[in-house]
Amino acid sequence: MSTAERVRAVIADVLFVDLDKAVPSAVVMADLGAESIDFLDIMFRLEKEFNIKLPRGETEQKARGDLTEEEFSVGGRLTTEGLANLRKMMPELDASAFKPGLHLREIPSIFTVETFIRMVEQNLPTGAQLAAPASTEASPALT
Amino acid sequence: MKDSPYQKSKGKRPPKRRVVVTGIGAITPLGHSMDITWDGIVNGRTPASPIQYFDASEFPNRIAYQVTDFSLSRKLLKDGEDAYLCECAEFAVNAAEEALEQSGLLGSSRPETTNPNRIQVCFGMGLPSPNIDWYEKVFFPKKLSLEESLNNARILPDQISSIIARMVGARGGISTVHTACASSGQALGEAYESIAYGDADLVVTGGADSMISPFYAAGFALLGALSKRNDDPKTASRPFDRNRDGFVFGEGACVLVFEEYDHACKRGALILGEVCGYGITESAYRITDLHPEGTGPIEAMQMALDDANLKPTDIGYINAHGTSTQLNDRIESLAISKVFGPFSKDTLVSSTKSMTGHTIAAAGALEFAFCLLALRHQTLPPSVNISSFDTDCLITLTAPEAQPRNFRFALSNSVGFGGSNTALIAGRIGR
Amino acid sequence: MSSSDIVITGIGAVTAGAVGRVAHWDLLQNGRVTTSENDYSLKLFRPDSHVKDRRYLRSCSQADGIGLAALSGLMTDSNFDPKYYSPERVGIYTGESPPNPQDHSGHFEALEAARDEHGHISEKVFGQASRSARPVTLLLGLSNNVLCYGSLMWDARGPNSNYTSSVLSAHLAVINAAKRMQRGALDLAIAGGCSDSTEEFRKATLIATNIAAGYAKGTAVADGAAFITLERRKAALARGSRILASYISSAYSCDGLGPARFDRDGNALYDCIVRALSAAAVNPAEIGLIFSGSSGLPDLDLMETQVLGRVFAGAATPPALADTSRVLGGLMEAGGMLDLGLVSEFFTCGVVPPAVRPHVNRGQFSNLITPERPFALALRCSTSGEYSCVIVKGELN
Repeated sequence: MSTAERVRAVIADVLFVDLDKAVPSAVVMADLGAESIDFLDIMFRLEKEFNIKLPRGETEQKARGDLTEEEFSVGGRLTTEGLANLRKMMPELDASAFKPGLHLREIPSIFTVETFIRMVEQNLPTGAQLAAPASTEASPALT
Repeated sequence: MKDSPYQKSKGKRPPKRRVVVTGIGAITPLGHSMDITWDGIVNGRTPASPIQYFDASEFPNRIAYQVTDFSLSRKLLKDGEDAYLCECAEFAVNAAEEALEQSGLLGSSRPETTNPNRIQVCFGMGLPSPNIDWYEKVFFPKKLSLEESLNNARILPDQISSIIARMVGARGGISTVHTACASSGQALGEAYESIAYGDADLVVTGGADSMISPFYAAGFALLGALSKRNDDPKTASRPFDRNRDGFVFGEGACVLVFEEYDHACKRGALILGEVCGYGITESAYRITDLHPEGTGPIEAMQMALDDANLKPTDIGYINAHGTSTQLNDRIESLAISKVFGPFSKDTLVSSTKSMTGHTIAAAGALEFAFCLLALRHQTLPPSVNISSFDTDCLITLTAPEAQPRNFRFALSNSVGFGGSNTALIAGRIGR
Repeated sequence: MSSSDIVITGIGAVTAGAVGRVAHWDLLQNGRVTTSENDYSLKLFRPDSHVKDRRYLRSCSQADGIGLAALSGLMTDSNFDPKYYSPERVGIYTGESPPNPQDHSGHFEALEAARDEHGHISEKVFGQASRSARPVTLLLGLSNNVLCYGSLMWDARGPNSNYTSSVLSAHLAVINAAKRMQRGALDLAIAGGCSDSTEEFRKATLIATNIAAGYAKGTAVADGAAFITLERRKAALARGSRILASYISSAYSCDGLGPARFDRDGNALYDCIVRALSAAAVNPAEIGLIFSGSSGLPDLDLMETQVLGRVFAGAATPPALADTSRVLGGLMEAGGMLDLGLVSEFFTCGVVPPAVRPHVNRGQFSNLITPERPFALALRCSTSGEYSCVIVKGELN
């Protein structure tokens, strides 16, 4: 099974949805009904499945980059720059996901299955990473 | 605003009797009595410290509000009853003694006319919270002998209720309630209704809890619910502050004596305040997440107002559940703003969890007691540990120091894990 | 007030011997052969094949899963249709057993890692190791999971409660739900309880507090869950619901002697029964059937018999008495619900099935159940001297 397929299988299992609903573009909260403890469980299960550590809050960290506190968010809401940075970190998402005024705490609400696939891929030990987006291709199984 | 459920009922509302409070006792991190605890509240004390009960040095969250220098009072205990007491049940024994003494229901001061068949107990009890050596005995070896099991296994949640019933001579019935953080809110509500609707004349009620133990410290940490401000315990519990990052464990017990008004007057009891209304709902939304629109707590508060026949502007103070998590404080204040209006100046809000920590099953009872005392002393508890108020919380906080206020009613919220929400309204009564 | 305005419109039950209303009546009629205490265990029960939305099970203990399975069955048995109710007028009242060590199983790995060669567990090492446990571990050990998940299942947002009151729990759930309904605050109440009594540690707790002391005499503690629905008669008829029985009245009391003590004179139990009869405006002579509390503790069971003798002393012929725990085992927090849900079957049958006739000589009671005495009296008795009584009336076909 490819990385993508394994991630999809974990998410489908945690959320008790059929595998064919857990498509890469599915929004984990809105489409698949996840709540905050499900996110915790998904992260836990992915770490166990792939024997890796997934840093928490990594997406937000990376989106901050070199920006200062105020340049990134004001009153918890992402600035235009902050939002643009976030979008760069999450190329798998449609532009419409990055609504102006998006609050920091709303970031998990835009996660898709693909977001988790990318997160796992980026944290696999070097050499095991896939070059292409995993969503539509059946990638060769890696040891 | 949704209609209150009672407005939809087709029949007439049944008549209600008045319910008053004639005794309060408490064991809290602020002190070993209700008076000392209240004194701590008024002075804004925050007795949080590193966890003492076990070696928490490698836990992600290492602080708590703990009851210190406690010793179980055996004055009202029978021989052998201490075997049925877990730690927080011991707190409840002392708190019950204080409440019953104040109420004049013990021994020779107890009037003949109090009918034991019309005395009940309704208590909100926490989960068992043993130390790690208990797990040593229970799990390893996995098969214990019956003798070993019996030695480890005495404690059930309803035993403290049974002991309190014996202390007060209750024959009218006992119930023990558990709905996580709403437990004693519910216990008090059911005690109130039992008297209001004529099933009892006197109910000893309250709550007790202590979750400061390795399994729960680990468990809540995994859910991300606890504050990580380990190096500054005294400011970690900061409800409604912008930089709040989770709750801090508290522990303790609070016992109250609820009584029918005429019954209390006839025996010349000291009346500390009135129980005016109760609302209880289930959010039925998610297991841990609160409904983003505040559904659940909103209806509980509306139900309590309706039950008390009061308007939102009649409530001078709300003791919020206010756990100091990002989610609870934001959503609860949204709910409050929807019932009382955003940033209401008539209804000031605070959470006393900055001074007691989160006492879980005891919270409802303890915080209702704070409402009663606030009314009795016409003093608002302070909002402490606010370095930067979170303006996303659409409420007006009480001042950083305790302030006098002329007000007649207060409301206490409890928002439970698992979705039970209670709202209790206290009223000032002179005597 | 005597009122048959509140009716029972369904029952969902899971015990080691059966699942569902019909299967449980068959079980009581035919009895069942049990050869060991394992026969009362639901350790191997798979809740996920009974619960429609299996997501609810993801942070549930086995006992909780059994409870949700029973609630699922109740939904079917009561023909629940949400269009008839507003969510804020639907309420769930549960009785649940306290958590057992198994509910903390998410921490086992960390505990193992923290043990040294002498068996001593290091809190420091546990603090580190526990960070890798499954995040929802704590939720499994909560004592109000069935109330929580049940509310999601039924979209029940109204008044609710959860009782950890040992053998009285399910009765307290029914009693409080019925009171709410009588006051006009609920249109539908779901009430009952669930328990995993056979788990080793839990059983030891019960023995330590005297409850299962009668175990050796043939009473076994049992796992299970059972819930009933309560509605107003008019509304139930209007939606074409089956009516299983009428709820008439209730009462509860206590001896007030402290844990593991009860009054051998039985005054509080007597008072409880008399109050329930008085609230029902029902004469003892109108009671056709008693469902005994049968705690399993021989002295308490004897006292119960003696009190019933006092209550029914004036009756020309004694009522019948059934002890369903003989077949079901001692269901603890789930106990008492099957009696209420199946009462009409007993009256239709007209005779107490042999399997549930009491094993001690209760010659003072009949085995014949006559419709001329249409009320039934259901009791719960705890070894800590706490008692409850619910009076119902069968619906004869």
